[in-house]
Amino acid sequence: MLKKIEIYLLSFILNEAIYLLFFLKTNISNLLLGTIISLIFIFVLSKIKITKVYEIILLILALAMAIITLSQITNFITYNLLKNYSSVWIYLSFLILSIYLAYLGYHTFIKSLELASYFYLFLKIVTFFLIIFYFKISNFNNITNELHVNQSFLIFAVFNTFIFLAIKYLTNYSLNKKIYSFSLVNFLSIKILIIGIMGTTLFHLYEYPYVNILKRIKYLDFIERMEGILSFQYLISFFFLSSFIILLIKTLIQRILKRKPS
Amino acid sequence: MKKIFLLIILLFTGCTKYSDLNDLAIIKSIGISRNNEYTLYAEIIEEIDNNDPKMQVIKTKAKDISTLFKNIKLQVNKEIFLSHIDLILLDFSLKNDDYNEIIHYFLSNKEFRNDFLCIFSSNIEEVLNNSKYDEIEELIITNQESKNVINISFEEVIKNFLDKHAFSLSSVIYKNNTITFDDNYTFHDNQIERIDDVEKN
Repeated sequence: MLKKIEIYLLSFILNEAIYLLFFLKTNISNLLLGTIISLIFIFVLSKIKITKVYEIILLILALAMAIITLSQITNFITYNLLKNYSSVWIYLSFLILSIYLAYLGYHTFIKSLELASYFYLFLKIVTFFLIIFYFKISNFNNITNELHVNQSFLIFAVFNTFIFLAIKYLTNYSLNKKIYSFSLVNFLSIKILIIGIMGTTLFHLYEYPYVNILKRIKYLDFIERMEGILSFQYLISFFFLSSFIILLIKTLIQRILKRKPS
Repeated sequence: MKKIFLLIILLFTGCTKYSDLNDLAIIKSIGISRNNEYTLYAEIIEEIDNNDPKMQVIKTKAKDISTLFKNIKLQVNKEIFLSHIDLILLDFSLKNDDYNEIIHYFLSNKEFRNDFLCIFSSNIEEVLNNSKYDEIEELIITNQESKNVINISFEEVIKNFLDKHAFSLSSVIYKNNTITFDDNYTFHDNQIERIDDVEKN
């Protein structure tokens, strides 16, 4: 039972991080199609026996993911939080922390995730109740733009497949449809919430609309300017995503070199 | 070993990028108008007393929006702080192209929060020179309940302008030694029209 909760939490946080970093502007139809394609990929690839070639391909993908994830995280922090700070130091700090957590092993990683998830969920609930009052149905007027399909569904499928295969590789837990649908519901709810608050025009204009909606919070003349502390929930998910990818790289290298992982 | 490492990391924290409050020009309100070139009026907080903060209005002119803000920095000789802006006054002389340039500048500069109040004014300089701290904002908020006033943020104005190329705002003027409401106006297709009832777009 405990393992199941761990897996749900892991997939929830990692998928949300991937979605917020890379695919927030992807149309709903692309998300749906990408999820279906990734389910097919996962079904096919999970039948393949794990060989050295499979591990090498996963390693190459993980290395590429690590580089682009860390640079996207640095971009997020530089743009929203530490505007005048050098991005090199932010990149290095995040990299060193992620490597350290990955070095401590999977069990420490999952325990840290569980501990951080309390604060993460607390911030999520607080954010939801603070911003839901700004939700308007009239902001969905131009929603037909969300129904166009383009090639980004393939890229989404690749990322989605990679994360689920990585979770399965590290945890040895056979993933089920509930976990996939849980992630998809999360993506759609984030998008619907942000568009309902901002409208499609502003949603596509801002680079980080999920931080911009936090800037709208203004109650009782003193509950305002809370985007700094509330965006900590995103930092938590981004940090665990980068640590997870580095943990995966470490495990893959150890197994490719045929040493027992810690 | 870990303790030494942590101690070393602590040395990396510091105050190298701190800004003294006196070295910042905190801009409270801005007004933009155009007559061949842009004119920017910036109301800067000089001193904060409990009862009556002292404000200073700086006027600059330039051919584009970004130069306007650079000129303020040169005039006051301080780092300008844009995240505290509470109010923007737009002149009737601004056209579609001007609004496109203003919106582009405000969206691309991450210091602007874009949640500040937005109103029209035909005599921006007099309004800013003769208004007290928060006077216009309080005027809008208290009169909003009587439903004659449009209380709208700059972000909503951007949204309406980009969606419908039109937006409605209330207007304030300086008349008979007081700041009062003028009327509600709609900007549409380079034209300013008076509106009779409040249409909150």
